[in-house]
Amino acid sequence: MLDEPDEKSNEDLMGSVRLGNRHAFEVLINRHQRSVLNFIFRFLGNRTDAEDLTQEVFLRVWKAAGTYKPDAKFTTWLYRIATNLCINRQHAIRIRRLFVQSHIQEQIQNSKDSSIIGESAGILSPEERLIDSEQSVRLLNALNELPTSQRVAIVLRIYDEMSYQEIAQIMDRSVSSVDSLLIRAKKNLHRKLVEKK
Amino acid sequence: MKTCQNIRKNLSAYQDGEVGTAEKDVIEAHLRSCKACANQHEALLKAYRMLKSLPAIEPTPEFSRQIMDRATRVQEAFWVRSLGQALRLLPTPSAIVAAAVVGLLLGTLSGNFLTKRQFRPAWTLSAFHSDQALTLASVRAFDATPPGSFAEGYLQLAGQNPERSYEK
Repeated sequence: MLDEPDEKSNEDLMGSVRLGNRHAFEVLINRHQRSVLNFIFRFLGNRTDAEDLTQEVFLRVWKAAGTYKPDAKFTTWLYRIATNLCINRQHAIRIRRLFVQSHIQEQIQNSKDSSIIGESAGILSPEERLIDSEQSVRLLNALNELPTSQRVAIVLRIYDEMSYQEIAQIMDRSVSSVDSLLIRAKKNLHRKLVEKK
Repeated sequence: MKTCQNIRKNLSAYQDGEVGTAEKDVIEAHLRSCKACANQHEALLKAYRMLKSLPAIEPTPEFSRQIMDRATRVQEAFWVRSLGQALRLLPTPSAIVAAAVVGLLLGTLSGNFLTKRQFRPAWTLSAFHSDQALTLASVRAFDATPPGSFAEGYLQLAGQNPERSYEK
């Protein structure tokens, strides 16, 4: 019964998506949304941005289905899209932060009423409170402080459990380069998480 | 010391199960005998385990539906955009009317120019010739290139119709 979309391989489903099959696309979303969402969340450290970007990743898949080559592994293609979007979004966030910081400083100078800052912090959901625990915040900050390529490599390795070969394909690098990225990432993380404890 | 450097270089790959069996045996043997490298191995593992403890977030139940809705909007926007582009390639109605008027004028003028010497209305002929001319004209009306037609004018101009009309 391999004809059922739910039992088809990712690559077969993409073949159907290329022909405009919406159900095949929905199956792919349900199969990969959680892993893509978490990959982006760990990369950016923000749930709202992660949700928005995950939707963007799948929209890119839908729009670019015609360019997908069936001989390429779907997850490699998917994570390559996600990685590129993450890097672009990271630049945008940095610019936004610079703007927000200068805006907040302006607000503080103009008014002594600090409630504006309290409001911008928002109310956290139970899940966000869990993520917001001291330990999680430390981990996310440590990840966020890593150079971009080290962060991509370590997140793909630790959370998505990808092989060095797959990571190399996603990042368009050699396996030995991925190896050295991971060594540096682990050493950096050790310095940030263990030595500074 | 050289051995320690080589071992540490491969520690990460060893932890990730990315070294071959022979390499793995060498590293494990070294870790059993070298306290410094064993400490380094533990330190890296500790950072790794801490990161692994970061909880995952779950997509909301309506998340995939939201993506599908956005995909639908993208598809609709694509068709609207394609149709718009196709319509933009068409000339505006005023341009079509102007082109038709210019075409009619040019056609009339060139038709008159090409045929005025070959075709005269029946009332300009003498009474003696009028019946004969009308008969000949009506017979030639069934020609592939009837007298006075644009096609006849063209053939004449191209020199493919040397034999001239009944009026000669």
